[in-house]
Amino acid sequence: MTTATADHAEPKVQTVDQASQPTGYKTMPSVLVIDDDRLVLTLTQRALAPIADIEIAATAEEGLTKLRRGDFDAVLLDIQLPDQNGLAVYCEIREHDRRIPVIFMTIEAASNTAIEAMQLGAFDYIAKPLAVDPLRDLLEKAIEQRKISSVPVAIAADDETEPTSGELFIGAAPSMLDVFKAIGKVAKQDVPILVRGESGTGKELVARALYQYSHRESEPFLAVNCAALPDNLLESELFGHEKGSFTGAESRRIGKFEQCNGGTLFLDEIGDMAPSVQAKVLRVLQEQRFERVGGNKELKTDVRIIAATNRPLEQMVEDGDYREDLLYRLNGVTIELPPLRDRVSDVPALVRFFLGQAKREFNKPDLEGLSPEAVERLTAYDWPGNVRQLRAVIRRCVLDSVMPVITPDGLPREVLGATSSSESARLSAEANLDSSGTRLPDLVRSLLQNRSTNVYSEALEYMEKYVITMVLKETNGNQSQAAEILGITRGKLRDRIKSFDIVLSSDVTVPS
Amino acid sequence: MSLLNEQQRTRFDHALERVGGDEEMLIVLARMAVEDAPPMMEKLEAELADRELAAVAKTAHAFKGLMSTFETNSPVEDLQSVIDAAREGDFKTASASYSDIKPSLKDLVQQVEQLLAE
Repeated sequence: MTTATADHAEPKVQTVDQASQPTGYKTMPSVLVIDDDRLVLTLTQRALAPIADIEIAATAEEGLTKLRRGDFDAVLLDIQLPDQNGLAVYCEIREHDRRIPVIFMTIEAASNTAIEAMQLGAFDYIAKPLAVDPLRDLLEKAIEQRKISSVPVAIAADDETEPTSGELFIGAAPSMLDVFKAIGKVAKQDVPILVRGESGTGKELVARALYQYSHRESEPFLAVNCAALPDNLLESELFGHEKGSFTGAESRRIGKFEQCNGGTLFLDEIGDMAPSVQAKVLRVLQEQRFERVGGNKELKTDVRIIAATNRPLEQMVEDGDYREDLLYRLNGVTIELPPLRDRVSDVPALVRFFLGQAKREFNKPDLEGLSPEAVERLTAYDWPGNVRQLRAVIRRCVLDSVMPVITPDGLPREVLGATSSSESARLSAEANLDSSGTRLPDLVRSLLQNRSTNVYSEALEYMEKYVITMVLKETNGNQSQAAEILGITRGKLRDRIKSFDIVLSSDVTVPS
Repeated sequence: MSLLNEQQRTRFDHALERVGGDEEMLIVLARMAVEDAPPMMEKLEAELADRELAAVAKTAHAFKGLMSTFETNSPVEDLQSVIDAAREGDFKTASASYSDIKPSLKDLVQQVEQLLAE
């Protein structure tokens, strides 16, 4: 049996002295192939010659020796070597230079070792028998990755100056400084506060900060999303109910206003409240008094309310969908959170914070940070989902990254610009026009392929649009009936009709 | 000019496709496989006779890798049952599986050798 060594392989290979000594000048990328099968060595050498200088080694020992002497851009590594397990060799390669992309080769593609290698951060693995074209493509990718990973990072993943108060207090844009000042001014005053801002801007974080800096910091903080519950359930959630007050009320329930006595209650999406609930909340704000649903006994509570919304409450008052007196009670003090696109100068600091957080959480000690091009792309994007979206994008990038530096290749297509997300946009647009409700699987699949970080809300929007259109068709466009059937307020329905551009003609449609 | 005849190209069409249609390369690889396969089989048989199952698994794995350049289905794929049985310490299955596929493996080596005849 012929043992594969560098000298035996055909065609003749370069010697260590010729190829592996760092010269400081390279015309071609160099790749080290470690495998005891001389067919693999020969095949890789011939197949990859047009794109790289190939150095070969038939044992782990020979491979590691060459690696330490040379300056390689990628390593192709057999998982089972005669003198050492490929995984152990991989760890030594990482110790020597953790930026070198390592591609495992294995005849058992589904083996646990291959999976383990990927978990450890291998660049990829390729199944044997090797096929020239996919091998060349993969190597080109690895070499490119090596090249871009070697550029200095623009944002480091190790942020030693991480603020303890979380992401809210990151940023130095004037609009955010105004927010910080407002929190400082009103936190200790026992007045209701309305926090306004687009979805994802961090309204709950402001509420928490107001609570933490208030006199009530040792008392409870509870949060209720008013849009997440149907009106009757929201009323019960906030005020509690007596046994037998409605079908399903099998026992007395204590509501949030009672539970939170002495503390702070955060009412999110306060614009999505039915008039009956608005009236009860107003009474609590005025008198600190209420009754449980189905109860006669008047209860007293001492709760500070912090409310939040992204709805146009003034417009809703004009339309008769929101109580004017409640609005004035709520917005005695208003804190306005700017959208992220209006404070792009804060993006790098937020990225640094989320990067450090995700690095620790996902245990990626080798992650160094983001390349300057990646930071440029992140700063150029307009972030419709605001800080929440930025956080999701960074977490996804960290989770997916196998190399120390995150480059634009690792960013979701939506961030990279309209052309790259055109397929997703096309499907979203088609889904918008679709009235059959059957495009949801295609939409979700496309969003996943495009590494979207907004899958949940896009899918929900599709579903909502379909349901609302169908119900409106059923009621021939009658909004009061539709709202009743849907179990939502007329105000909420009107808001959705407006935002989805639903046309209330004899045949209810979503226009193109 | 083609280095292989029509029959050889048809028999090893997948292998040829994997090497990017490079007939010369396939012949170079065939020469190596024909040199390496017989001693590898002998080694495997000796290890089976000595019941050295860890060594059997290693050699069968290497042999599978060697021959998969030319054939990915039976009998090369069947070597996996020898590997699995040897790893599990099941001498009887490893030995029986190898005996079953040995004639087909020899045939395959001969077919690969035919690539050198042209």
